[in-house]
This record gives sequence, structure tokens and C-alpha cells, in this order.
Amino acid sequence: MSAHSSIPDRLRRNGRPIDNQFSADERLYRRITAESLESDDTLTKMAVRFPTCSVNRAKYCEHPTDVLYPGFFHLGVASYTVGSIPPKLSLEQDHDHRRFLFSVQHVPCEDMYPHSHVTCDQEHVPKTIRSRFRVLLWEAGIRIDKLPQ
Amino acid sequence: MSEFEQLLANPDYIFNEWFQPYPEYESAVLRTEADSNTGDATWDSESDHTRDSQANTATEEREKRENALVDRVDALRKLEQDWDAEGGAAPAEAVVAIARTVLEMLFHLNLLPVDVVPSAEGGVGIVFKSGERYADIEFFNDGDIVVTMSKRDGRPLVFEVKEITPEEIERVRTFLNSRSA
Repeated sequence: MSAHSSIPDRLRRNGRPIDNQFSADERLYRRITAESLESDDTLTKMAVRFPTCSVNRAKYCEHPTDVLYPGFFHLGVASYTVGSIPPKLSLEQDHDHRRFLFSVQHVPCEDMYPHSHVTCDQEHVPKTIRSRFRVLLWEAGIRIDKLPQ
Repeated sequence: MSEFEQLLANPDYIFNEWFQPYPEYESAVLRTEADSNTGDATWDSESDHTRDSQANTATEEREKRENALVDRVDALRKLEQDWDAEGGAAPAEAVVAIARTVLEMLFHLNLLPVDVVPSAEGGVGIVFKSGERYADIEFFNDGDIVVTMSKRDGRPLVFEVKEITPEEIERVRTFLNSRSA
């Protein structure tokens, strides 16, 4: 496949509606670079980005590499399931017991219908919560579907 | 005999027991010296040679790993913005320098990480693994430092620290070496 490929019609929105029904085993795909990998070609929490992060949902993809359109075919693809996302995390500090909720939302683009966001319900999130989210997602299992070139 | 009593009886004890930055090498050397002092009639120069050779191999292997880790840190300086194709910030020069210093401290304290990688959150992560146990020290571009320890049981321990001290490193080592649930 060339470095730049036109986006297949099946991936375009073409007037289709937002679909926020996600099953727990639906995979979410994201791009990865060679720099994201450890020296043994594995991923750790370090490569996990805290919400908001862009992903492609499997329900409307034929292949994990659909997330590489139109010009990212030199990159790799990693994925995790919707069920891997911790639904909520709470601060456990003396005077701060805020609770943070996480979810995945279908945010289709005109030229990428499967596009979705993993999001948090709050903007200012302490680093300890961010790190817990990232390590829990990694613990639940991140699969490398394609290594970067 | 208590540790204090051993110290009184033998001042070398404190060196032998507490300051062994390279245990594979040091223990091999100490064993060789002890053997040669026994006057044992079965003293075997060939097995001594084998032990020396094993100690040298362990030291060379360790130096190779340390050099590879230093190369990984230095490579972080070449990363540009959007290095992860998701708009990721390149590690700040000051943060890379701190990670390099901490790496030297880890070498000295005989705790080798498995890797040093850029953080998707902007910064540098020093990563440790031991069996199912995972730990990292993450240096953020804004100067914050977060330590994460995971037994992959859904209950990670995450805490912020002001700086990385030998005590924090011992905490990571204890976690990685612990086999209890």
C-alpha cells in the first residue's frame, strides 16, 4: 500500500448517524510510532495517552489499519477493548474526593466515520489520576496489531 | 550475631554487606579471595579462572545494558513535537537531563531499569519490570514526578514525589523484589 491512499468510501460518513452503542469487547484502534515502543517492541503505560484521545472503533472498520488512512501507513496500530477503560476513578486525598468518569464517544468525521474519542468528564485532572487511568488501561491489555515500519 | 555485633567484630562487614554496586562481580571476587586464603590443598586454579571469567562476563553484560540505557536517554533529545503522531510534546531538555542523572543513580544503587522511553503525556519514563510486577518513574515536562507500581491486579499504587532520592529507589526495588500478593 502506498504511503498516501485515498480513503475508501466505506470509511466515509456518508450521512450516517452518531452511534454511541459500544459493546465491552469492541476494539478501539490507535496509531503508534516506533518511538512509542520499548526496546523489545512492547508497549507500556508510557505509550498510553490520557483522554481525550482519538481512536477508530472496530464496529465500522474492516481492518485495524483503517486508522492509518490517508497517509500514515508507515506507523503501527495498537488496540484495546472498550471494557478495558476504567469507568471511574476517585481521588483519595484528605480534602479532595473528586470522582472522574471515563467513557468512549462516537465522534464521526466526514472522511472517517469510525472516529471516536476516549474522554474524561472533567478537564483538570491530577497526574496521579491520569497515571492510574493509563496503567489500568495497560494492565487490562493493549494489543499491537501492526508494528510501525 | 546481630548486624551491629558483626560490624564490631569485622569492620569489613559493612563494606561487604552494604556497598555492593555490582553484586555478581563483587561476590565472585570475594569468593575467589576467600578460597585463596584457605590454603586448601584442593585449590583449583581452573575453577578460579572459570569464576573470574563468569564475573567478567557479568560485568561486561551489565556495562552493555547500562550503555544501551544511556543511548536510549540520549536519543530522547532528538524527538520532535508530535513524535507519537498524536500531537505529543517532545521531552524537555531539562527533564531528559534529570532522567540521565537518575539513571546514573540507579546504576550506582544496582537497580537497572528495562527501558527509558518518552511519555505520551510529555516527559520521560524510566520503566522497571520484574515478573508480573511493573514500576515506572515518570518525569513530566512541567517538573512533576510520579511513581507508579503495578502488580497487574487492578490496584496500582501511584504517588507524586518532589524528587527521586535513594529512599524512593529502594521503595521501587522492594516492590519489584517482593513476591507476596
